[in-house]
Amino acid sequence: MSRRLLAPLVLGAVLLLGTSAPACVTCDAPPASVLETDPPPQAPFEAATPGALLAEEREWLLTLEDGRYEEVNGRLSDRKAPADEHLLTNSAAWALLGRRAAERTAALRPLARNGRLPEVVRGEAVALFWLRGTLLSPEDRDFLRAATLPEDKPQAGAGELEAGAEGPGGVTAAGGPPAASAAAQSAALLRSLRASLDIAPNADPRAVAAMDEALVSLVGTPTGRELALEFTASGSRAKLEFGEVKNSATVIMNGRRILRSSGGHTFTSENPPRVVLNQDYLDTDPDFRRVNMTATLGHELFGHAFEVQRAKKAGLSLKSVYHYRGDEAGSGLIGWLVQAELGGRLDNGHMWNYLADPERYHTGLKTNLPYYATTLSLAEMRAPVATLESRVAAIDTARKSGNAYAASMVAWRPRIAHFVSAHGMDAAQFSSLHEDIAAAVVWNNSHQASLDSIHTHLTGTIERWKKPESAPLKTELAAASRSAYMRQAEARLAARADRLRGIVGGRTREATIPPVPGKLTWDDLHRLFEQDQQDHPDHWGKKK
Amino acid sequence: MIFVLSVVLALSAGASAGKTAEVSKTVKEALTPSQAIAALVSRRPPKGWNLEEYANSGGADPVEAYVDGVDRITVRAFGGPGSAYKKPADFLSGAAAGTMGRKPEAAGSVKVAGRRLTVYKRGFPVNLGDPHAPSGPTMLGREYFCVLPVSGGRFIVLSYARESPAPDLERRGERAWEAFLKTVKLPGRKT
Repeated sequence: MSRRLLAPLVLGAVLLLGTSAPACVTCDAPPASVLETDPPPQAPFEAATPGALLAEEREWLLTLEDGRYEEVNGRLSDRKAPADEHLLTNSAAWALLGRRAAERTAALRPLARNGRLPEVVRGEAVALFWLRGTLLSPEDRDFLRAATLPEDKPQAGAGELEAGAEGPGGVTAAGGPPAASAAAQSAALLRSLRASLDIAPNADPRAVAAMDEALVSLVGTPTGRELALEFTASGSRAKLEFGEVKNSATVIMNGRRILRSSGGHTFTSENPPRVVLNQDYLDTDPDFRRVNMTATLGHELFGHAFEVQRAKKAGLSLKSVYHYRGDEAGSGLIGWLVQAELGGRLDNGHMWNYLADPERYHTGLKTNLPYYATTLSLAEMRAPVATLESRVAAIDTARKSGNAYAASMVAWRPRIAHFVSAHGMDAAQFSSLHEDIAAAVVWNNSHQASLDSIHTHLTGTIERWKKPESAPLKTELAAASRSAYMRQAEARLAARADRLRGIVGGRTREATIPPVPGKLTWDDLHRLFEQDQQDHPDHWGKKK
Repeated sequence: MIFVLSVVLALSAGASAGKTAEVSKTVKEALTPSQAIAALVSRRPPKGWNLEEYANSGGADPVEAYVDGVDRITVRAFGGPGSAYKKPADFLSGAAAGTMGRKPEAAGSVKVAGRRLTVYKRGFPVNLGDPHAPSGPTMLGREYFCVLPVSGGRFIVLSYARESPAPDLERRGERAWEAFLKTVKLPGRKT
């Protein structure tokens, strides 16, 4: 066989989509990826930029006047405007968003008791105050500021912040005070967040600097900023520390030292919750740590640690949150959003699987680690024992799939040898594939052991939950599944997923580790295999 | 044909019904995902493959999958009220059609229910580790799919996935998918 077989086949790539909008130079300009701090009022409104719109604002805008506005390349097109002015400008968008904010504030006013809003709507009020405060009248702003103060303890730093930390373009409603600079607001928010955290002292000076950098980076992202505002406004707290993670290690890949273990975890049963970041992060390359550790911090702090406090305030037990499958998915979405907003690589397989098929993502986690095997959807919380029983059978299916996966890889060892012996190809070209095959065998061994642990955990839980003393827990889970907190948690999941889809939609996957030059990939092997089957069917047990 | 298939699926669903009796009570009025798909398209499941059924988008996007080892034949319905994808173009530009952000590649065509459909190819992450670990190099399985418009503005995505980066030497899964596609029919049409 000649080396021509190594040449990539020309793939009939077809661009699948078009847009119904007319050709327009302004439309065709690439959408902005970063929110401008002082956008020109007459410039097109960059609707797809992270942080430009809340999910509910986007939905509201797109349903206004029977769909008057439609998204075109990250901007909003006005069907009723002249063709050369059809893109919504910043000033027009601010007018609309201000109108919506005023309407929502009016809707919230009757819900206030003694000037304070109930927990279920406080999140919306916080978002309106901080993100749209400069578009509101001073009266509305004052109402939102007062209504969102927590009852139980003074809100750290809240008094020093002005509405509209991220308000559009420094625009203020008539008669309102000018918004403070974005930098000053960010600094104030950071102070406020730090005041809500107990950061454990650490003898390693790198720990202090790394934690500081992660907090700054986190609050620098639109998602981190919004959640920091909610976290502080709700009076939530957390402990932060670096700690040991079992079986952790850093590895060098492509010349960079990175972490290949769990990035951290949260002790949600402690008060306040204790977030532990893997101390091995301190040994990783700064650019890796800046993105990945910040994403882990977002996941743990604004995911697990914050959610358990929201749930407690709503009257739910720790166990309800522990067994709710959305707790991991919601935290995952926060971490993925933070990573994407920091410009990190979009190479997280869990993220792509979640966006492609949320239910399969959840199913996949059930055979990943023991804990996930006992997490439940809202419907499953009403039938926990039957649900867990049905999962025992899934373990056998997962065992077969794991074995089939390893076998599918190992089967290629002799075939790779065929390309070397029969076609004279250089054996060294196949070394990456041999490494993958060896890794698949190791992975399957480890996976089968994990499935043993999952089986033990699952059957043990079923046994416990069948006993009369578990009746209160089952009642609690069923009640939690119908609670306002869970409805809101599901809505947060959907909004975060929408936001993430918007961010990743315009970006492409970047491999953490690009293919090693001179080494064949599995795609190359597919092409070799197909070509050789065509050219030499006798090599593959077929008649020529 | 639809009736026959419904019976087959009802029996399949019944096999697990005893285990999920509590769940069934809560959704007794709703169609199962397979039943919802059966209302749109008839098909004959591959023999001996395990059925999985579920739905996304709060039940609006039903899915049924036939699984055998690392091979998976899936039927998904979209385009109804509450669907994540209103039109085929929305699906084709979304995460379920692409390879971790890259658009799907055209990979030939196939005749299904009397229509010539484009076959697309994509890669998807397989065998993922601890979700709390920073992402590392990802192994990609391969999926081939086509989009079949059905009644009421809805559409069906028919796919074959191999959850391994390694090519299938025997083409067993691909052959099963090809045979499966030949059984796909639209209600009320002679194709």
